[in-house]
Amino acid sequence: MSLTDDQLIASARAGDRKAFHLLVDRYAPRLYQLAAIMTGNFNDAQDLVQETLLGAWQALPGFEGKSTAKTWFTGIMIRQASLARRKTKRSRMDSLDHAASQEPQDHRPAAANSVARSDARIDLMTLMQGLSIEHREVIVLRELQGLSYDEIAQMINQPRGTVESRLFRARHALKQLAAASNTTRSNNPSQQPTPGGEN
Amino acid sequence: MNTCQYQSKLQTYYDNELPQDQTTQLENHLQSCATCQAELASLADMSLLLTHAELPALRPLALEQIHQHLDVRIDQQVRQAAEQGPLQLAKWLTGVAAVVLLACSMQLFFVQNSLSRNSSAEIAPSLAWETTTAMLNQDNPATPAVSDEHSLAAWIVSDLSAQASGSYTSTQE
Repeated sequence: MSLTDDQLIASARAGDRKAFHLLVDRYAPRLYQLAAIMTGNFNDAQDLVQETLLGAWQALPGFEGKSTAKTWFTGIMIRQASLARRKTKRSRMDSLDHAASQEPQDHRPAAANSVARSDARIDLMTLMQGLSIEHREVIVLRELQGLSYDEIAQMINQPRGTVESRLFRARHALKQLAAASNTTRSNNPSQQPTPGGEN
Repeated sequence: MNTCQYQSKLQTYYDNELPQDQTTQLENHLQSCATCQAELASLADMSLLLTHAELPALRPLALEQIHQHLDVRIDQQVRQAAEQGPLQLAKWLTGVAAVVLLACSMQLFFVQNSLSRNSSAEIAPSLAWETTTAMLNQDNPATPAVSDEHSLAAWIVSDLSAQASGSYTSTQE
């Protein structure tokens, strides 16, 4: 019988590193997906997951069990992403795929270039890179993690009303980006998706 | 463009965050408002796009790297904590020593001040000739305080000499 999250966290708090690695096995894949969408870059995503998990290990003594493990890990990831943004001032367009730099040069704008290489996965990541980081955050937290407005508000340290309005604007912007992306592809059949690799 | 008055509530309703009383009201409205129905469908489409999009999978090798990296970093932290333990104690003790030293210095300063105030009060009593002169002047302001100026001068000199020798003695002590 597999242990519950609470049991694993309790063991990890007592210093059981094996229990923490089990939690990592359980949550790292999902965190990686969220991180990839947040950062738009597979290498950065992996770094962010590592920092998140290390932050979680350090924060274990303070874990009060008021939230679920999923919410707890996600909250740490949001904070780590914010810290990383402050530390590095990388350009958003300088991202998406490290491998892209090894592909033949294409002088189209980066976003359009991404669309050209896109499958459904890359497409979503590209679309999300068109949003501001604040909008990406709320979309990820609400749509992909299914958190409530109150949980999101607590996580991003903003009032609930701000979460609502930010989510509204984020959805609106994403809808426009998706529409623009569809138009671009229908107008340029040469930019139809081709299989894309990742890390 | 949705211009319906319920527009602002649609998203909250869609996210199951609308209070129950308003939910019922909105659901009644939805039955007759095509604009809101379309807007709601659009929200659902967006969710579908997001939740059904193929997201990047964490490869087993990358997961293994994460585990290894985590172990290395945790070990580093444990080592640093072990190394910094005595250093922290030393810092703490230095702090305590500094506080004790400061407290002692202040104590010493105040004690010295208090002693010097007391001793100067003992060393410098009011001069006898001054007191006497004042008393005489008070008794009879119309007449000169001391008739014999020479006697007065001699008295002053002897008084001051006694004072000086007294100070000298206390300094010697």
